[in-house]
Amino acid sequence: MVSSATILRMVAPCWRRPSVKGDHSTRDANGRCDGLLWYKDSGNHVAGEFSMSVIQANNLLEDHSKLESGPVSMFDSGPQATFVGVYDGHGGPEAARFVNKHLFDNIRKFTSENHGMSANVITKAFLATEEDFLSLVRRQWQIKPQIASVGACCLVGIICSGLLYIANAGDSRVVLGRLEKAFKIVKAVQLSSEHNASLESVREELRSLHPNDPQIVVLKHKVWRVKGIIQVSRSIGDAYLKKAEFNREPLLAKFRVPEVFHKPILRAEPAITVHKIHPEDQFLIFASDGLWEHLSNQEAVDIVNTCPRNGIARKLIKTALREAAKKREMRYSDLKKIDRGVRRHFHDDITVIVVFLDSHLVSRSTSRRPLLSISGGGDLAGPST
Amino acid sequence: MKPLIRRLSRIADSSSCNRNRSGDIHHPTSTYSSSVFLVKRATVASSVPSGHVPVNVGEDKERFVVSAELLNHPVFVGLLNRSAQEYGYTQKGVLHIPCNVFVFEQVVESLRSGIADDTSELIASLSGEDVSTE
Repeated sequence: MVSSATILRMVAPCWRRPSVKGDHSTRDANGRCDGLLWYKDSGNHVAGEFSMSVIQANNLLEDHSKLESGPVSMFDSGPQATFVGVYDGHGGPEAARFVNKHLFDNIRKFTSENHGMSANVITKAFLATEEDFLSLVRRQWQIKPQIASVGACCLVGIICSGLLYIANAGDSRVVLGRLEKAFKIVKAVQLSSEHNASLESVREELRSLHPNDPQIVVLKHKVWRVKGIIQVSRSIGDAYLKKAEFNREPLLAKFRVPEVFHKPILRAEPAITVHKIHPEDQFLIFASDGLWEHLSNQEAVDIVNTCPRNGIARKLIKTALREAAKKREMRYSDLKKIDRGVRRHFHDDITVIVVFLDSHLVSRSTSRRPLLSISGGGDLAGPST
Repeated sequence: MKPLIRRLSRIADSSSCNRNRSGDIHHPTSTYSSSVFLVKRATVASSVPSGHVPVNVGEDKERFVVSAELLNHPVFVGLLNRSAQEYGYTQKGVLHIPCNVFVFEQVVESLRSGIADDTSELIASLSGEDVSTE
């Protein structure tokens, strides 16, 4: 028996959309909602097709994302680019929403100022967005101290002038599907490094950055956490581990660090790599860690390689949900009956953006295709900050 | 939710003490006449009926199956959130509910009896059970 309240709660996100006739193209353009699932099955970006999808698990969606395609500078001249952003929030949705709203604009600003895209431009955009969010935390600290414990893992991909820039702070992941002609298979190549304390290399980095703090990483319930609190070592936000002024009352006790610290414990600086795009490079899968918890890199690549392009992001999410249900020894159909909030005990919010690389489009950076700007989640994502 | 969760904890402790004191306490075998099947014990080997989710309850991880709809109830949400705060979300395998088995059964019985919408009444019911426990 499904209560009417449950039906209303699950369907409400779609009802909020105006149901005016002739709105069909607009509705499709911004994706569709089906309960807790949002999807934009197919669209075009500068270098080919893309597919996006988001599944909500938390009470408030903590994943946010964006795909932009068009001129990357403030001036309409200059190279065309595709921008992909996946922002996985924690402690609340505010940081991921903020980044979704501001990071791309900062990248455009710095690209214009520096007369072109570069790794340095992206770093400056990340750090500017971080400073802006910390300013917001400072403004809201007295009335809403919990915002100091909100942060977001940020993964960015930019395709511009035949190059692919990857920038990551946190544990979202981007995987390339590369055709190996000799064997006629598509191989998974992970392009992002992860900043999660479960990795020994990350723990070593933390210990070398904080040599006088034996408690910088702590094993708690078999999980490594920075200061015994958080698993990721980089993020935008998490002011309570960036500035000592936000690690005091009235912040909740569970976020408190016993000693006063004088330099940030977490960092917002992204790890950036630049890749020349080759004809064998078939597609990119950008996703928050909720997907990679259930699918390996190669499993995801195999699905993209063997299934139709249209709706492929949604397909990846559904495959992950089937895996999540299996782990809880339940049916996938029953998982779908679980509300958001409770759903978090079965899987996390998941965002997937698949970007196909059409080799003849990649090299023609001056090709004119319609401008595109789309944020993942639609009404699931709630009001803009 | 806090008062209810706090009371559940207290009752759980109380039941544990009672079990320690007299080892022969056993839970009455309950049968449900209602056509809406909410909870039943299940051996690991048995398949989970459609519409249900298996959960492990208490320190000994006694296995139950719960209707998927029931999991959405605020009482269960509170129990699961308490578990997540302690152990995180990446528990392996079947969901674990950190609640004494006896208390769990009482909660489910109360929900099944239709007093689910009145949390204060549910608390009173649990309190009553607490008093009556040997």
